[in-house]
Amino acid sequence: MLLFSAVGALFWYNEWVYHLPTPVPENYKPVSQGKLIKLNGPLDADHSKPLFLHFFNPDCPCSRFNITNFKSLVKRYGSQVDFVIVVMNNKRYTANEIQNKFDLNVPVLFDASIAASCGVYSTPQAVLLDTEHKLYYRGNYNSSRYCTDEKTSYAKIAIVGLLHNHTKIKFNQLALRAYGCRLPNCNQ
Amino acid sequence: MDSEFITSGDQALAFKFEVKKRSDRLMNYFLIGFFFVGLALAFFYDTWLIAIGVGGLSLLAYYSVKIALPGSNLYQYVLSAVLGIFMAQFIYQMHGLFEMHFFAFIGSAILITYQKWKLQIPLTVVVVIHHASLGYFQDIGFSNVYFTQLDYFTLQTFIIHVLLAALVFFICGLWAYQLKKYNEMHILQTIKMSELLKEAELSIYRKKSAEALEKQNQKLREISWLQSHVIRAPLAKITGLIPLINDVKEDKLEREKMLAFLLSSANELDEVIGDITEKTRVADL
Repeated sequence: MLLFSAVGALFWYNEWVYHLPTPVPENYKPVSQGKLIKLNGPLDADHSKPLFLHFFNPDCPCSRFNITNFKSLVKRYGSQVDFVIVVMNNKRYTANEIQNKFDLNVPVLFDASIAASCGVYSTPQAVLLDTEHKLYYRGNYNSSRYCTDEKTSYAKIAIVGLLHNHTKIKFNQLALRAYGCRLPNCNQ
Repeated sequence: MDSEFITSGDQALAFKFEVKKRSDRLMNYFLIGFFFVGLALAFFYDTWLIAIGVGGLSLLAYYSVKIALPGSNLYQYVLSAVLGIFMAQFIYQMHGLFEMHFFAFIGSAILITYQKWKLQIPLTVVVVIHHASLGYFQDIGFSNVYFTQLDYFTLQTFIIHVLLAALVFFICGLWAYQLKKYNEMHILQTIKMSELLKEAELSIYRKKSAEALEKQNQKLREISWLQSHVIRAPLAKITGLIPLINDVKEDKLEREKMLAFLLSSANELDEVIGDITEKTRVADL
């Protein structure tokens, strides 16, 4: 009985840990909706389509679990939105390795400064910029871990909202408060 | 000789012991295998604490009961519950991957080896509690539980899911029961067969004995015939000669002649008796 209770406690503890929002880093600077995001390189020049930045860490379990959901978004909106994967990891991964993980041919960036300029401090996180590169949405993909809850598929709702020119969509705390893994360079 | 006369109860007991021993040995492999499956699944979403913690506690629960109560079968029921917990662990580790639910069926099938339908009960209880509680949590909107990735896990789906699982457990329990029943019947039949074989051997032995007896009787009849007919001839001569000897008391010559005849008949009788003795010896009477 004691051992079975311990088993239950272990499950509960793990659930509880995963249920907590990601701690906000000390030097975190919030970036509000509508702010112009300055990007480097070719991304800065392209203003033809909205830009969807997927902040991904191959070592983060939540990020790995989120791959399927991100793929479904690319499959559905790939023609209307430019998707980019931003790898948040100190280890050396090649763009090819990341693309193979997703089985997608989307650009892969390793520029951690993008996260800071978008106000991202966890993975997986979605950032959607309009064609002028103003921040339209920064937050979670879904309130549900499985990303199956249509009512809270925030990333998808944001894309649809932007494509339909809804200038302002109110997202609740479940969408905007970051859940998931801390960024590797924030661990120290 | 004693081993040939083991009672049917002893044989059934020996069989049960053999089933238990064999199944226990298999469980060592299965449980350690399950533990390693947990470790392998931990690579997907870094669920090491669950893999080592829950998997380790499950193994500890099984082996501690088994070692602490060697005479009891309680450890088998703990095993059944542990298999249910492994299912929950794997579902959790794979974040509700639907296929992980099949481990409940794998556990149920593994338990058949013990040939006890009751062992399906703890597993069923664990599965029902696990599914009911997590299904309920997910249904009321508490989405952050790793139970199923399906968004349509409604009450109806839940009932179908649980009923199908219960059906599998019932069938596995039925197989376990039937396996036990038919194995016991097979043992009884084997015992009956060996008894019948022994009876048949005994009957053949009796038949052979009767034939031997008949042969002996035949010899005895022959001896009896010899006694009644062959002995009678010299004996009749002797009985006839004795009155004649009395009649020729005065005639010495005649009397000596009669005595010579008497001696000859006595010798003849002696020969016949010797012959009978020989026949009796040959007949092994």
